Amino acid sequence: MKLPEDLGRHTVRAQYAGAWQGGEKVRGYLEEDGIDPSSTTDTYAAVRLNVDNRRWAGVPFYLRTGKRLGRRVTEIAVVFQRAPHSPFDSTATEELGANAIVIRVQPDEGVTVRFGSKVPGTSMEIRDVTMDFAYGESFTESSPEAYERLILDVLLGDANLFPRHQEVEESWRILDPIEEYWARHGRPAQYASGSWGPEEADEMLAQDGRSWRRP
Amino acid sequence: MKIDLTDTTASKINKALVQGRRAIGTPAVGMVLTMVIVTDEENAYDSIKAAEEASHEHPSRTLVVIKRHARTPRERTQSRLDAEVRVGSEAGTGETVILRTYGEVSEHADSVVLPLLLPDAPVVVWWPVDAPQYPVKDPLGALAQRRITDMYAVERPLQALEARVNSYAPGDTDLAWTRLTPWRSMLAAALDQARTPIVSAAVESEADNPSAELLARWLEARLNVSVERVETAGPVVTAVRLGTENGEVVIDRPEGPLATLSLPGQPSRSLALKVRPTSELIAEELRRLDADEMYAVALRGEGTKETPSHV
Repeated sequence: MKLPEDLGRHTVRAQYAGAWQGGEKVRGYLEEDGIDPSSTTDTYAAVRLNVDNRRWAGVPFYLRTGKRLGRRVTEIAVVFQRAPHSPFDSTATEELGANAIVIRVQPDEGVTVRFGSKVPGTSMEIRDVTMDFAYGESFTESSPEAYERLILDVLLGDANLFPRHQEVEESWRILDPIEEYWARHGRPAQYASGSWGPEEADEMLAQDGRSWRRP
Repeated sequence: MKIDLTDTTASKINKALVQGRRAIGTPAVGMVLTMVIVTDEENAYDSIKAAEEASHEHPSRTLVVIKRHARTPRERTQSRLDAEVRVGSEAGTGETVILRTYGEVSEHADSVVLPLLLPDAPVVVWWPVDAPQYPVKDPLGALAQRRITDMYAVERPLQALEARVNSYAPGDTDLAWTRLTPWRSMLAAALDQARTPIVSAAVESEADNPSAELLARWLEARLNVSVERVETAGPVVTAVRLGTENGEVVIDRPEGPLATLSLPGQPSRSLALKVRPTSELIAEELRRLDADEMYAVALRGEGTKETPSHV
């Protein structure tokens, strides 16, 4: 795992500000009860990481997480390079997005494959379509609650699904430099509750010529 | 299947959508776009019907935002969001959520719509009536790739047209322009046959018709001739006359769905040129979701160097 050289350019932290979220008016983090109005605790973080080996060279990994975002969702999206489509002129493929595989961890567990497909008819038009697999619908049994399984494993003494101390330490080895950088530089940015994060995070991707997908 | 939610939030609506989808046994999401209709109670029925018909061609999630007007000061201070979730046979080929906003939340409808948008899929906003002055700067318009307005639904269409010229941003489009597509393809096909330079042009229509004005501007921009606007009894656009050195190219539609095409030196023939219902116009608009460059050209009425495939 390799950290970006310029942590200021490739990491963003922020706090939610008061706004309307999903039809309700909500308070900002600094206005919450029992929160120091000058707190620098972040409620949103976005970082770019690289895996330093031959296979993943040149593939950026963008992680973002936060409270009070548009909706509660956990997803892993693999976004593929744009296909060249050289036989077609640029207007024909103008609407072609990047193909993607989205693994929905929660809620509505499943996998979506997203790709461009030609619209039926004589004209050359392309539209993004999806192939969808919903885990909850493919079995008549419902899967156990997230902690049900873990508690059973604790009772059985089976540690397969728990992180080992090496894993935890390795995670902190990656995150500590970022935390230290944030402690020394600047303050968290602000983002409106109910939005998908601060403008700084959009700019962070824009400088790589990318944009966040809408989950 | 219909689920009614009173005094609700976007996350509860999202749960109701998943619940409804599971209940009817179609868990997979095959919808290709999110359509947001911003309207009032009076126009909601017709717009939802049009959107549902269009959804047979473009399976979509339709979010209908209806702002409820409070009639008493007491009601005005209360903020409430009601939702009606329709899935399955009740909602064409997609899902429909009717959002009714009361009080303060009406000003923040975008906060309700944002969590309900389909992941990644393009967003289209349609104002059947009461389009904002600057569609792209409207909080709901800003969420969308494509913003559809309708100059037929305003009191003074030609003033609205000038406003659209000033507020144009890539992605804007208007149903007055969509209504012209058959006219434009017939005219382009007629000129492919006539193959002579155009020296004069005239557009005949009822008074204050924004489509006729757009058509005239489009012809001015593309043919570099000045176009005469002739007022007739209608309905809508009745004829286009293009003068060449050998005679006139005329498409004449005095009434009904049948038009006559006359080319110099050829017998005249009949063409089908009917006035299409709103659902067909919306379905056509949704076929291409990139910016409509020709609409921009027609709005401004100035010449450009576009490739012929755009005609």
